[in-house]
Amino acid sequence: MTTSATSTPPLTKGQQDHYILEARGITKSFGGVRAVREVDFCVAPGEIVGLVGPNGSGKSTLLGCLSRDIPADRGTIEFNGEDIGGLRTMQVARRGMGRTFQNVRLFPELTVWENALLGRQWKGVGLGKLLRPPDAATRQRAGDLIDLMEIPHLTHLYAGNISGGQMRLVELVMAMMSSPTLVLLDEATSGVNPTLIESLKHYVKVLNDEENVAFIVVEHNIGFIFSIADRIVVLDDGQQLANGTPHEISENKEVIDAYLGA
Amino acid sequence: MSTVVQPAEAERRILAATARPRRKVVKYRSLIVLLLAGVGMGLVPYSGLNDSVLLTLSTMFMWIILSSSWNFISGFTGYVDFGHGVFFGLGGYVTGLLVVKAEMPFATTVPLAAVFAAVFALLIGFPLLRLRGVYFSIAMLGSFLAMRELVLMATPLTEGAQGLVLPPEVNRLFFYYLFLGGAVLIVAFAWWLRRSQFGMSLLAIKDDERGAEARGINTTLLKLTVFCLSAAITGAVGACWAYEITFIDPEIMFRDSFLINVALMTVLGGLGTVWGPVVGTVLFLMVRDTLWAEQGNSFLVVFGAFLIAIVLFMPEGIVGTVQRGERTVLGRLINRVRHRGAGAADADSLETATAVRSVQ
Ligand SMILES: Nc1ncnc2c1ncn2[C@@H]1O[C@H](COP(=O)(O)OP(=O)(O)O)[C@@H](O)[C@H]1O
Ligand SMILES: [Mg+2]
Repeated sequence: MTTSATSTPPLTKGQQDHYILEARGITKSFGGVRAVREVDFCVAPGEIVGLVGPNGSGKSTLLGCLSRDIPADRGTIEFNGEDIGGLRTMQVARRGMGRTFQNVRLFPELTVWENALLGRQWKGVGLGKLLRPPDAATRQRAGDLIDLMEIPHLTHLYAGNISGGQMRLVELVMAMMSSPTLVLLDEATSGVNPTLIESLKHYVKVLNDEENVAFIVVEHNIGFIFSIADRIVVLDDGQQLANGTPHEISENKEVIDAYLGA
Repeated sequence: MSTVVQPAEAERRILAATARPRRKVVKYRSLIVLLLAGVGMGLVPYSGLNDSVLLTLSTMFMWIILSSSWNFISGFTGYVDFGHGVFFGLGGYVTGLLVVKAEMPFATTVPLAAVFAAVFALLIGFPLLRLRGVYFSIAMLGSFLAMRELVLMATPLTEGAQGLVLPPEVNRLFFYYLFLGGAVLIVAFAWWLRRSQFGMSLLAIKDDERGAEARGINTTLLKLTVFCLSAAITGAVGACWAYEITFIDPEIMFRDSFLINVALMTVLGGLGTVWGPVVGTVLFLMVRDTLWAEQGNSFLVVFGAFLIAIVLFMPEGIVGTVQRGERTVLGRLINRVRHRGAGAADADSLETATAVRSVQ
């Protein structure tokens, strides 16, 4: 295990010899607040990486930088071997990075079913196709995912009218719709009841197994993280404090002092 | 996901759970109503009603087209355009100038007016659609005022305040059917749009534009496209109206009341809904004309109070409140009344039924 900021994390899954996401030296300040400082972050195909740290340690900002929702001040990001540093978040999404947000971002005036469909892969959908309802394959995938999350009874409700926990499941459906290779989950369990949290964990594992989707999971729920993550990265005050397997992290004195022990 | 759910089975279950394979009649209910209304209105001229009734109806159809097309950019997409009259005025002037100065036939000038309005929309939309919220609204108002002044000053071309006199022979019945056909077509198009991925994406842009981008939706392209489309339709209507009234000047073609009317009609009926502009237009014109007949210009006081009440108690408009009612007190009340005695056993199916209906 390593604690230095420039370390390269070990490849934990399979015999892959490349990362699908390789970010180096990510730095982002908001005015005087240095939210993320010189963080390296790599994810192997099909890997589930937990990202933990106290409130305000820069987790959401880091996810924002990776998905290009927030432009980083410095650093390089390669996704599936391509430099995505200059792309817009829309282009990153189309290249196969799905995500959910700490504050759920659904479209309340659309139904759950329509929200799910909007998560589709938009690459190659020209104006002609846009003027038609979604194709059969897209509807099929939405149906599969909605069924997998066991929310078919919600499909025709407006997304603004369902519970917070249900919204998180719908957002997960949206994030998965485009058949992504990497999904970023930001506090997906907050405000979700314990039964739903168990299902959420189950779904992440299923999608990871079946479609080899890699996940970056930001969580306050330590139990959740330790039970699904292959590797855990600890952020503190915008910097990487530790990076290792759940076992290593749970025995790391620095982490226990700074975070887990509290 | 193959081992988790059998795809075909999954879709079948979803369809069953959401009552998707609705009978065709139910699915196309809106279109059937629209068609019947269109045919019914088409027969009106043969019923022996006097010309003033026909003119009132014809005006109503025109405003349905205008408020519906305004609804595409302002209601669906959430970019509230307080200067949309600029496209109406430009369309009118393109036809006016081509007919008077180039002696072109009217029918040829209408598509040209639409294209001109769309190109102008593209030029100003490119910078202005980057603005959010009230800044876009104000910038559009600015374009409207500036264009009116420009047309007024460009005397060598537009004759300025003197105006343009178009050929006087006008077939009222022709315009009745023209606007009726246009109104039916635009409502059918709105119905279609609401179901298409395009329309869904526009509503997504209104709800959360950055969220839509994060899902991979090309918001810039969609905004520009719908803005140009809306401008083209408005321009074409302006062209027809200019020809119908046979005389135009900047004050007539760029009237302030245009801006107020389309906004009030659409808000009254329900922003971002298919039928909102229709319901809103009919009600607006009826209330206005009734009050006007009874009280002259002081009708504005009553009318203003009426509108305040609507916005207070039905912020989503009439159609919006009936459809998505769960969000307002009045809407919940309406929903309860509508479902009383329907015999719906469980709340779940009731909710689903409401939602299904509302998407139609
Ligand atoms: N848009 C913003 N503007 C200003 N400061 C921000 C913004 N977003 C985050 N911050 C600041 O950056 C720091 C990291 O925030 P965040 O990434 O949300 O942390 P976390 O997700 O770990 O709780 C915090 O100090 C926060 O106040
Ligand atoms: Mg956060």
